[in-house]
Amino acid sequence: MFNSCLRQLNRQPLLVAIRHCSAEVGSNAYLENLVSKSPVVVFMKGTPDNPRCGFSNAVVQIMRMHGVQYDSYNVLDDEKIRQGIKEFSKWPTIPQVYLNKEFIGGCDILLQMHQSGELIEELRKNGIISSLLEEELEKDKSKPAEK
Amino acid sequence: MKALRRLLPPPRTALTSQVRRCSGTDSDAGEARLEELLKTRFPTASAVRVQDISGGCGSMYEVWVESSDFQGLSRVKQHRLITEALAEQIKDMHGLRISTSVPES
Repeated sequence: MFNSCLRQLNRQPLLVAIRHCSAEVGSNAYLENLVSKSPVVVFMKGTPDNPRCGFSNAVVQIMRMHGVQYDSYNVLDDEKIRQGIKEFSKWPTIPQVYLNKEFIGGCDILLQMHQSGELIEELRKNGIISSLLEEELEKDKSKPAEK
Repeated sequence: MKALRRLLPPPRTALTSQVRRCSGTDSDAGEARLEELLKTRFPTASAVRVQDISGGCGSMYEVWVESSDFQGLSRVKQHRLITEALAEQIKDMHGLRISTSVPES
């Protein structure tokens, strides 16, 4: 079932491909598929260009600061996804952030990780270099060598 | 000028939600109830605090819990303990902010 889903995804635009997946929308199999398609996946209210909630907006801004590319799903578009992801993650609120198929938290956790520097490290462990880390490395390079 | 200002949407802030004003509220009772639930779930907690951040509407809360129960757990697991303790109440909320910590030894 998943192989046929993946073949569809490679050929077709994202939303159309999702509809062709045989798993029921909002089911565990369906959501397992969504969180597998990109290293970073965000379930939010609204879209990155138009967040519909302050908490979802906070996640979008943090991702933007770190220059992270991610797939996002607007739970307001589909009630089955909105309720399904809460059961799938065992987490009652939106937004929800997945990193390499693992749920890492919502807005509060992401904010704390961002403020403490943990987010940069967690991204790096998963093969993603944060823009903020790149800036730091550039600054270190341009410092004059100490005698 | 005042009438025009009322028509304009309130300014958006990146990291805070917009607070609506409610009249006739029992936000103190709502906060007390959630605190009680958390203190029952975490009887050895060194600190538990709940604040209604929805302007008294009871639709959004911020909770702080400091407890040795969180020792060694990831943030997700720590926050899950809170959401599980408040599962029924969260169904009626618009949102919940959580801060957890381990007491300094």
